[in-house]
Amino acid sequence: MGAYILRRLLTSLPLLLGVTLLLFCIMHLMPGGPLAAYTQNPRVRPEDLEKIKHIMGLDQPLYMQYLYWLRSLLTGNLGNSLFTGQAVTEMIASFLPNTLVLMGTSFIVSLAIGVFLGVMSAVKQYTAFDFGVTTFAFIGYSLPVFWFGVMLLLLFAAQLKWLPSGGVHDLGETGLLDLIEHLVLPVTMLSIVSVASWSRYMRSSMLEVIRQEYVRTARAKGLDEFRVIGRHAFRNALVPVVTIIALALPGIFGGAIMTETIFAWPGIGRLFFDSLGRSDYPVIMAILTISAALVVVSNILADIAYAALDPRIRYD
Amino acid sequence: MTVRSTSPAMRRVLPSLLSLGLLAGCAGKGGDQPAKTGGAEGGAMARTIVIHNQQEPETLNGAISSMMATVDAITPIMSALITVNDKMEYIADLAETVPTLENKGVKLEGKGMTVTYKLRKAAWHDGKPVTSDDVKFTWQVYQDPAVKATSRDGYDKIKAIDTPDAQTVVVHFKEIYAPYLGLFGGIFPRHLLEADLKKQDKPGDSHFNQSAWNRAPVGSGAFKFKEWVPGDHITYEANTAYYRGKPKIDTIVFKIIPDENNAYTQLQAGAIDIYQSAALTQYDQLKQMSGVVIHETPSLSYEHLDFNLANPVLADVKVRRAISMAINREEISAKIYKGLYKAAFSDQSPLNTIYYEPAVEKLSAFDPEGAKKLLDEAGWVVGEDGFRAKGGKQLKLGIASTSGRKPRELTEQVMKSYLKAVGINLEINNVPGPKLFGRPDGLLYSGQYDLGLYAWVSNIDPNNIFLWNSKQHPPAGQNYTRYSNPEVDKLTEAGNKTVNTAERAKIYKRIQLLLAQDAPMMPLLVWTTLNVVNQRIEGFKPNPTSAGNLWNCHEWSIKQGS
Repeated sequence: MGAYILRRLLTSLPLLLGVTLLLFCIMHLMPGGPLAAYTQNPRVRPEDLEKIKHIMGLDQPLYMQYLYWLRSLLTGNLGNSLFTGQAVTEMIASFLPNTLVLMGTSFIVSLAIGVFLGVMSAVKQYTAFDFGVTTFAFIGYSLPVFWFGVMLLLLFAAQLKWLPSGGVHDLGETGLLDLIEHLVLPVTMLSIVSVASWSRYMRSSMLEVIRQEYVRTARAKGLDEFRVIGRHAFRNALVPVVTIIALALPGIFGGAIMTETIFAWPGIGRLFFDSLGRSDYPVIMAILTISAALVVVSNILADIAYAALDPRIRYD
Repeated sequence: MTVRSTSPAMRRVLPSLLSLGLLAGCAGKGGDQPAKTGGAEGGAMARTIVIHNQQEPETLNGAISSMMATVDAITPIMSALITVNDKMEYIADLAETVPTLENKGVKLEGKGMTVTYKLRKAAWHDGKPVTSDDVKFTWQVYQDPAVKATSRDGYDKIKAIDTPDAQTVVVHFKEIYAPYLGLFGGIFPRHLLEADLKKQDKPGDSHFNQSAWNRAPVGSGAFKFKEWVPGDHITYEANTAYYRGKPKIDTIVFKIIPDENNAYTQLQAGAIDIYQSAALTQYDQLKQMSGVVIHETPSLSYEHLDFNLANPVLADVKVRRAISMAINREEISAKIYKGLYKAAFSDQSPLNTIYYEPAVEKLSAFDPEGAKKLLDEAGWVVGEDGFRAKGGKQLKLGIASTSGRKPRELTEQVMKSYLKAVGINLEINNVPGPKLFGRPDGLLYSGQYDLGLYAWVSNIDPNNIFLWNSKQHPPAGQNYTRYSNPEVDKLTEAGNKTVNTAERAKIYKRIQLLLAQDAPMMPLLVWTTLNVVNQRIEGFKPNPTSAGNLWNCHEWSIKQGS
């Protein structure tokens, strides 16, 4: 197993390198570039622009810019933002905790609710409960998330004033309760779609397993229903769902641009969006590269999880 | 997303008027640490004012920022020599008086000139005095090629700066430079930044660009920097030793709220006191909101239509004037901008009363019949399809604007019908902002457009050489219309060399009349800024110039009993 993981990690290195090269090229195909922020200002004269270009290192040929970036990646500092002048690692570090709190909470909440609803509606197939969950899932999945978020904001924060409208904390507050109050709306916005889709996956996977012979055997042995479902069926039904869950993991790092914007949540999604807006190449590259690496890692994690869940799966 | 009248991209236009500056509204003298710890503790928020901003500044160093958000964020902390008030008048900030020819602050010496500033007694927030040497240092910052300065315009016209004593600054210009009052918008502390300026992180890149000071500046303004929580807010606390008067509030919080619905909600909940540049789409809702005052302020930005004179069809002034006369500004304003944006007729702001020429309004009035006559005279004959043609070629022009901005897209639709009425076939080809404005491949810069619809920002200083002088055709400058008129060339050059205000006004009024006749550009509508303020706040006076709304933040107060 250890050798397998090591091999997977090693083979993914050239893959990641290729990904960074591709990202770098695509990024430079975006119209505008970092200097676009200045070009609309008549008082920025061509000679001023040349100096800015030189200081930002944009007058170097593209392949040199890539090599410089690669060198900074290998030394682990990821370079400095073209606009804020800060180290990119420092910028990510200051936005990451907020994103982890928001995405992590929403991940756990939607996983718990989604899996529970999925299992229950499979067990109670074609009952009122199942139809209810199915209807909810279709509505949740087809809701325009942006609209839904704004509606949550306007209803619960503006109209009813039950919950705060944005940010991580009220000014001057640091308490956990305050944090939870601020989390409710954005987590609801984020969870609605994932609960809807995960409950569907879980339901169909569970339905497949329930009809398997080993489940019938378990029942025949006289096990109570809770054990049959909980231990024998559920565990096996999880295997395909794990893939989907694992692929959602990198998203925890990437944040959610829309949710973070609507709820003024200072997270990685907004950092990425702002950086994209001004073509802050080092920040964009750092976030994308970390995301790509996390996709690779999550895939490996998924493979490991298969083996843990299903003894028939072995890696040599 | 809902329609925004002030997109982030456009806000970045204004950007560093920083360079021509006028940043700080608040000069300072500080020293003692104020006793207040800010209103941030629990319920002790009584004397805190929370001001909204849609964007987060990328730095708090005005010299290297490209964003308008930065101007607002540094105004409370920094001092300018001269700033601008809400009536668009220059007022003394760190300087004791505004130097002019009349008060002998400005002396013309042959080809050059000398400007003398007397500084008030002020101190940096760390207690050290602000001296003439700091002003000199500020010039050195802009002179240093390793500084990522947004613009060095004006600073590169300075030959030397003398500092005969700590309170006197004598600036020697190489040539006569009429916009001199726009310089020195934010004074930097030599004792804190000189080492960073001299250090280079890599050859040609000064550590000044990455300095820790840029994210926690020590200035000399009415408020001291307290903390910056990235993506969330920046907090300032009162500088009790501020010489223009101790601020009447304890804390200003600059809160970053990217979404307008959220800003609306927070205003309603009282979580923010000032909602800056509210979305026009929220205007009706905001009028219903109780407890707030809406300030409708004309902006210095204006929508306009560029004509590309390199296009042979548009090289004919009759065609350009006909287009200008065929378009009804009032109707566009009423139908698309809720009547908030007002008709524009000049590249100078009507607010800039010294320089604005009202006579242009008659010259470019809406007159579709006149437009038809001009097109007839120009030899464009109406064909069977209703469109005009000359020599077998239809009178067909393209219009380019930034895609995704609803009000502009609607404006183009309306224009299409106005122009159809006079026999011109308008084709709409919108592109993303960078494709329109970029260099070197942007449509405007490379001249691959017929008509361009976008916004420009005028300034308190009337200098417009970069728009109209024929030496400023790309790639040298931003004369995107490729306009060329020898008289305008002379006038735009003379304007920058005329310090006497009355004489200077004559020059710019003449330019406006010539532009109205030649019509290289059609001014459409002056933007209106909506600033919505909780009624408990007193002293908020929106300022359309690059001094920004926080120019008088030391005078803001909170009504008793609220």
